[in-house]
Amino acid sequence: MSEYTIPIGPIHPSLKEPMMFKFIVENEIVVDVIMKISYNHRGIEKAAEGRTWLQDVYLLERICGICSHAHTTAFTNAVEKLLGVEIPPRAEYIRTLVAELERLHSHSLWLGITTHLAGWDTLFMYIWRDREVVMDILETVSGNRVNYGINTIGGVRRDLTEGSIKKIRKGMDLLEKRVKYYREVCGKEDTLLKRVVGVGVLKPEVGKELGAVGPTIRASGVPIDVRKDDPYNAYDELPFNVVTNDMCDVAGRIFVRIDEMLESINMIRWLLDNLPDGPISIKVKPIVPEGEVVSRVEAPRGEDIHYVRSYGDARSRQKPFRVKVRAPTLANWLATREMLKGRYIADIPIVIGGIDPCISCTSRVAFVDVSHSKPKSWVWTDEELRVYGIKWYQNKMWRK
Amino acid sequence: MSEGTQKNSIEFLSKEKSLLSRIEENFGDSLKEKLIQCERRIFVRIKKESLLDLLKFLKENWDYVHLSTITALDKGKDEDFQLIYHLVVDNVVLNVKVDVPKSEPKITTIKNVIKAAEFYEMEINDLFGITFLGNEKKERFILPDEWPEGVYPLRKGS
Repeated sequence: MSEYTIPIGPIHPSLKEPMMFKFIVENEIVVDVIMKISYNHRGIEKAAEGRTWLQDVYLLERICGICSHAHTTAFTNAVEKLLGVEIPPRAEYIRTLVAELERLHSHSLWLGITTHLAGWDTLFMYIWRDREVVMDILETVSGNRVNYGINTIGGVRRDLTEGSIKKIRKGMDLLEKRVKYYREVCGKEDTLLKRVVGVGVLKPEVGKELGAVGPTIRASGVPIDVRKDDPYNAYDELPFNVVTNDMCDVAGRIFVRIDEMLESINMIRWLLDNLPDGPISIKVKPIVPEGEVVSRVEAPRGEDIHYVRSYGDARSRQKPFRVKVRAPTLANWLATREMLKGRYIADIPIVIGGIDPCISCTSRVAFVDVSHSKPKSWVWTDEELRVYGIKWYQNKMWRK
Repeated sequence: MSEGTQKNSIEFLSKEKSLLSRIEENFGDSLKEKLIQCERRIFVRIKKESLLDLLKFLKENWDYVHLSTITALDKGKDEDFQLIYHLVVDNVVLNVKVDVPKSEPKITTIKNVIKAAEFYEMEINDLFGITFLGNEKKERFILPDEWPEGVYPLRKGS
């Protein structure tokens, strides 16, 4: 039997973000996958070296539009550790609260997309309608729907008011009812189960070997959760269970995320019940001494790790010397390759969708001048990019 | 209260200390730096040649060794590259540093011991130009295909 290669991407109707897959297939069975993940590479790590510590908080927030809070939490936690400051308890709680709200909205977004990929658009519509509850809460709490901008070095930027607490509680009551309903329908609806049970199998030992993280590995029965294993912010005080599932397939990933949503709702209630009084931030001078910090957080998709290095001298007093970011999706690609091998072509979208891929997270605004004899690379400023954009459109045929 | 807290913290750091002492016992000669920074954070610097043996030792003695990622660091013009392998062993983040000379930026791949390293090494190869022997690039991974040879965006002062 001869092998064929099916290229999918980088721009394809069934992909939500640009990515290139080359599927090597034998008849209808996938034999191997070659991935090219760079189509959204924006050079954020390089850009972070050229900005101040505070500006980087806002830059790193834009790594991902869905788990933006996870990235700023990892970075601000790291910088505060370098500075040797402790933020007020109320700030820790608000950070944790927004993180859990983010998990709720991210998981419901994923659940909607997965049911859509499985061909069950009714549930997709229901879930995305209910997701607006969390989005509205996030807007009330932070002022923004996606890039919340709530974290800053030394605490958080906005306090919770009586009104917003009331709104969160009301929203949680509504969501709890809805999420329990999803749990019930997903567990007995044949149209969904026939599509997801036994599809995209990841054995726990394979997942561990390939470094899978987050709900992807927890759905293979491995209880790994940074919130429990390496607690940060208020997670060491906060009671919660690490949700796992032994199904090892896409169905398992659905149930893990639904159960995590229920867990998050309870965590949010606990945080509101035990919210300490006091200030929400302290003033810090972002002049950072020498040091290095490894900061881990549990983003909705899994472990997100930041490595921040400062030299404390002219190289890095005002700007970080190095910021390394590894977003959870990069850790899950190798596992996805294993999940796809030996499966049907028709299973590709649901298996890839099953890990909740976020392609933007693997971060491009770097240019190289190839006309010079000596190659030189540079980064465009906003202004240069704006001028280039205007020129490009002016030169378009239809504009002339 | 304070005694209890102190005892707890000593008990807690014991996990880090025992992990470090077991590494010291077996790799004392190749260990250049060691530091327990705080709870669940250990930094060690070892000789390039001992890296694979250390990883094998960890994998044999602990049932789950998770590689979070690999960081490459260009410390400046006349200094060597540094690779930091962020490993999670028994819920402790063990950061293993290895120096890679700039004149010959080559190191053996670890993907045969820890499979998860494959994409992290490919990323560093594109952005820093460090060759991982045994995991050589066939095509670009992070950078665009038309990116010129010999230009590495995350190197300093080039």
